[in-house]
Amino acid sequence: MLRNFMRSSRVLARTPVVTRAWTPVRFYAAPPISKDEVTNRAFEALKTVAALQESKLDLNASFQKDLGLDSLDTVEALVALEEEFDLEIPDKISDEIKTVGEAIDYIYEEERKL
Amino acid sequence: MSVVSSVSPSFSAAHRIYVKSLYKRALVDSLNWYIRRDLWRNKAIEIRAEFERNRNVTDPRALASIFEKAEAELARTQHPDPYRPALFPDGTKWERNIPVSSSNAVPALRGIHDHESDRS
Repeated sequence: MLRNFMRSSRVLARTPVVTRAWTPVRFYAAPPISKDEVTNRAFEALKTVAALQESKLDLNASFQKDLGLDSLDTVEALVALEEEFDLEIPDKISDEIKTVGEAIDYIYEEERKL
Repeated sequence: MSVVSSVSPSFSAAHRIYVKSLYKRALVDSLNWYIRRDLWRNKAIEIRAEFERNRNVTDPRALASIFEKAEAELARTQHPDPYRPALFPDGTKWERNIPVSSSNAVPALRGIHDHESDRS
């Protein structure tokens, strides 16, 4: 009885225990974000700002001169961008951001730092 | 009021920056309480209306009392566990995986010195 058990356990030891139905895959980080992607996502986020004139949305458009926003609407637009890209734009920098292009440049630089 | 219009531009510039920061803090704090942005829109409109109501106030004393009230209200409604972007201060990934400095400041963190290459 014991011998039988020993023999069977030896057989068990020889056969590979782990049988994988799947091959292990190593997951790497996502490729860095492209500027087009930043631009598209920024435009989508900016379209949620109620006061913004969508038809004039453009890289060179100034928030206050072209898009018809006042200073508080601009703050709201930047909050929308912050939320979309999971960022915090410091007050000092948000004061200097006047156009959509500048905002996108800043976000792109921040995203590249990750 | 003539007093305000004749005051140096630094006051109005500082005032503008402060009001913008107050507006932003109010927006961000209210956003912390909502899980859906479309539901939050109404709250944003409310906040905006609050600011619009005091748009033409130029008396510094009146402004000071308005700001005091606004700050108190903001402090009262502050979210106890606000959302923080993961990669920014107080976020879950803040300062994770900082590249190791190769300077002499922290010898233990320096890479292993290659003595073999020194000899040649």
